[in-house]
Amino acid sequence: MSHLGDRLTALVDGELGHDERDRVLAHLAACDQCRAEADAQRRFKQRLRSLGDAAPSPELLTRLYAMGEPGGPIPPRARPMPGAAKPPVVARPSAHRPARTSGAGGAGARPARRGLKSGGVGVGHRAGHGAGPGHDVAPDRKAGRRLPRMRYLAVGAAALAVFGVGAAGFVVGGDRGQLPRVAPALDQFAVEHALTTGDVPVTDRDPAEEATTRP
Amino acid sequence: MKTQHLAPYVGHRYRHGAWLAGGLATALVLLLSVTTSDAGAAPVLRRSDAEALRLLRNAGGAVLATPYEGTQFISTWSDVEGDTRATTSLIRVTHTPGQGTYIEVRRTTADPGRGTYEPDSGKARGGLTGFTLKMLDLMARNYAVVRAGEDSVCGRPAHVVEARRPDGSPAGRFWIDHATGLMLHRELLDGQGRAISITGFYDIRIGQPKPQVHEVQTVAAPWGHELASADLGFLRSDGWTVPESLPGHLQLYDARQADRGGVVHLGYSDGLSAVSVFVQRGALDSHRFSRWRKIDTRGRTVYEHNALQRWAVWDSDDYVYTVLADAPQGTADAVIAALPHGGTGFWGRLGRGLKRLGSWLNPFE
Repeated sequence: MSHLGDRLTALVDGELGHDERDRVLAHLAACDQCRAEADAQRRFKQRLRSLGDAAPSPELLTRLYAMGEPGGPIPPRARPMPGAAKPPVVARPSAHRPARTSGAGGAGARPARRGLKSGGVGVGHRAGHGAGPGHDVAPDRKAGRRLPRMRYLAVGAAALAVFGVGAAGFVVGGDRGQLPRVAPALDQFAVEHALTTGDVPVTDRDPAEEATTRP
Repeated sequence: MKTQHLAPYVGHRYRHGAWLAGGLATALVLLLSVTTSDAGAAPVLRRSDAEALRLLRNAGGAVLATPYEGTQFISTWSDVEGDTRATTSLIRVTHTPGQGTYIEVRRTTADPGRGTYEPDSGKARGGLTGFTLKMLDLMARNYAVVRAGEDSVCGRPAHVVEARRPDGSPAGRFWIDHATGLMLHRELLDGQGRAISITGFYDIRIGQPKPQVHEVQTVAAPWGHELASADLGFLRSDGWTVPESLPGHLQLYDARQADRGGVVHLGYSDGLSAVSVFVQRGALDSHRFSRWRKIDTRGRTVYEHNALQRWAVWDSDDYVYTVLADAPQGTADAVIAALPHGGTGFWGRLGRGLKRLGSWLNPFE
């Protein structure tokens, strides 16, 4: 433990004022322990500086890039059925991440998934029943798969029903047979028009007949 | 002394105020002159002449109060495939006050024609004037109705009344008998001053007419079921097209429904032109109109016939439209174009089909 405390670090960083630095240097001249501590801190700082120019290794970059790629399907969310045992908690990959060694598991492998697949870590490992990997995962997955299938089935059936009714409506709606065929009563319309406009009710001939008989 | 010292200062302020007031007044005068010259460039509707409006209003009453008989002619000009064609009909008219008007329409003098009888007790109050009181209000709103001198018709002195557009050009002209107030002659004119339709007496005798011996069809009144604004709102919500106005400043002034058949009659006018739109549910039986002129309007066939009146018939969206226009050709064409000309469309067809399916499944329907 240094006698100078934070002032020793400040000295190494060059942050002390003129008088303070003289006092600290006077102490270092007389105290071997503090001088050794100051030398150690200087060496550590030099190492840190030398690390500043270091580029990340290609392997590390490859792994980082691999983390950004799309993964596989998200595992189904298990809904606990009434009376069923509480589903096991899926361990976070970081909690059981295996020790990384250079090249272990391939450059593109994602640690968390690799842990689940290997059976050495993750759910099976945490359950610890000695039944081997997948023993705890399989029932959970089956329950998870069954429910969405039913849901998809229900949604599909509903969509089919809506489409069917819509198609039937569209087909039936195309039939105009039920609409009455209308031949406007032109002579009556002419009288009605004349009576509401103060004009002469011209009813001499039906305009349709007139157009037919005109050469 | 103080006052003497202050006086020049106060006077100076007053002189500034006078300059300011004078400047403002000059600017105001300039602004007014500019505004006035602009107003001269843009047509502004002049005010109607109260005496001219009174003459027109009285003509409706005079035609019921005066005994007369005479022969009228109706001539209409229309453009058919680029040619201007005139159509004329002759009308024998006799009126006995308190009884009614006998009207016999002939195509030629040799044509016996067909007669109709319009009793005075009926609700029709146009009286062969070419306008109703509602239309006269619209005329005063859209045109400047003014007296335009004196003239004579069939040897009878007459007042001339003009309905003028904002640019001053005449859109309608009326000759009203000095002695009786009867409408003797009227013209509807287009923007170039050409006659679109003329109705007038070429002989008239004031006095008790000879009794009519012909069997005639009595025309008592327009359709009885008048549609109020609430009825029109209900029709619109039910899918009927009921515009409040149509091109050419035509306003909806009368709406009725036939007692049978469910036909709705919508009357539009600007005071001079009159357009009737008859709407009924159904699909058009087009065989009857095979000889009419076919016009393609937005993919739909419109059957048109221009003679004494302008007719157009078509169907759209499960409704059949019949337009009868006493209006310039351009106005009639614009009215036809403004009304629906679409097919039922995807959603309309789907809605109709679902409604039909629902009616099949509903045991109470």
